[in-house]
Amino acid sequence: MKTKRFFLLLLPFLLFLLPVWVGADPPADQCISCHTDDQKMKSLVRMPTLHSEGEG
Amino acid sequence: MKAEDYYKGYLVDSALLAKDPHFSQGCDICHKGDKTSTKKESAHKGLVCRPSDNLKTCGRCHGKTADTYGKSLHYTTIGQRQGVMGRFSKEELKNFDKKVFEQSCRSCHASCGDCHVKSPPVSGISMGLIQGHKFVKKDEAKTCAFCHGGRVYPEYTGEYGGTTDVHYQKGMMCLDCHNKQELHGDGQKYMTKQEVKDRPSCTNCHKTITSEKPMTTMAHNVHLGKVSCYGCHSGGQYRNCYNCHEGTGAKSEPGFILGKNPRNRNEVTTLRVIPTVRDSFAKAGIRMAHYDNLPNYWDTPAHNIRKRTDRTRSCDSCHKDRTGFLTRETLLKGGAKANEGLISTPKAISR
Repeated sequence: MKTKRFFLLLLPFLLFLLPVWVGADPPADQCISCHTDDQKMKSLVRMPTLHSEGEG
Repeated sequence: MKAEDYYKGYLVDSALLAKDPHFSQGCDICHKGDKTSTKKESAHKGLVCRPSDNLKTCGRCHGKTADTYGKSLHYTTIGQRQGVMGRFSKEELKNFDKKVFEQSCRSCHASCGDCHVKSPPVSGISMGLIQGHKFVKKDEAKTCAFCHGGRVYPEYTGEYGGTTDVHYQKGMMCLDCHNKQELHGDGQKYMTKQEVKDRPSCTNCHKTITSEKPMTTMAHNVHLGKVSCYGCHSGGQYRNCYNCHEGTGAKSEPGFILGKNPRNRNEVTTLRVIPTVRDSFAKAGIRMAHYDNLPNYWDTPAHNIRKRTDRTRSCDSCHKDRTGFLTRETLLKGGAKANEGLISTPKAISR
């Protein structure tokens, strides 16, 4: 009886939560979301100071 | 580039992502960092800005090229060490290797990405991605030009206000003369660029004198082996760098100098000032015990070639006026004693 109740409680997890958990997308690549966003990059990147002439 | 557009060098072209197999495994396969973080600081923790500094990164697919490139002068930068080491005592050379070469000279090396993905850093600053992180075969104006932009590249294009090289005017760029093997290396560890096989040479293309003018043929025959092509065909002033000090760099000025080739005293050629002065490495405690052994001028392939110059038009330019020739009076003040050996005085000619 106890075993039957355990499996009944487990049923919602097996039916609904497990497929969602297993099939979830991997974490999104945040590098791309920032580095392809013109406005975001404009706000984040700062021009460094130039010090000397080039060689060569 | 305008300062407000600087950020564009860090923008990735999203259209490339699906097309180019380089992006198939995500950014972090090369750049590391934390791709799941939405904050700049934590996302960039452990970031590898220049993944190709480790040649194994590109070598996973481009094994042969990465293998030869590891021995090339662009990667080793050993030519810079070779050019100055003759001025040092044994002890000073050890000090130079430890305090200057590894920390300063070596920071100028180029890895794969500096030519194929982004502009190489100059004084530690890069102008960013070439075409939104496209992997390009060549884009000389954004790669060669940034490292060789102090002298050779703007000399070639005429951006100094000097004479534009005729090859540039005809549409030729760096890689039309400097071939892939020269830039990627051929697997041999050369110590100087002069040793590199298949270096560009004028005679690779200009095999014979095509002019029918007897004077032109005669002038070439008479000067063959005595004057380099640059000696007559350099269009005039090119940039020379002076007074280099570790940490503060050098100052440049235009100039045109003719003298004996330090590597071949039988030949007169264009010379370029080497900015090393007696106290260049004083900060590192190096006094250069043998400073006088090497000259302050090296032979230079001036990148401002013209078919006709003052010297091709008139024998008098060299043989009477001696224009541009090094003299005792024009030698660098306080320069190395070896400079005196480069003075050449063309003989007067009778007609």
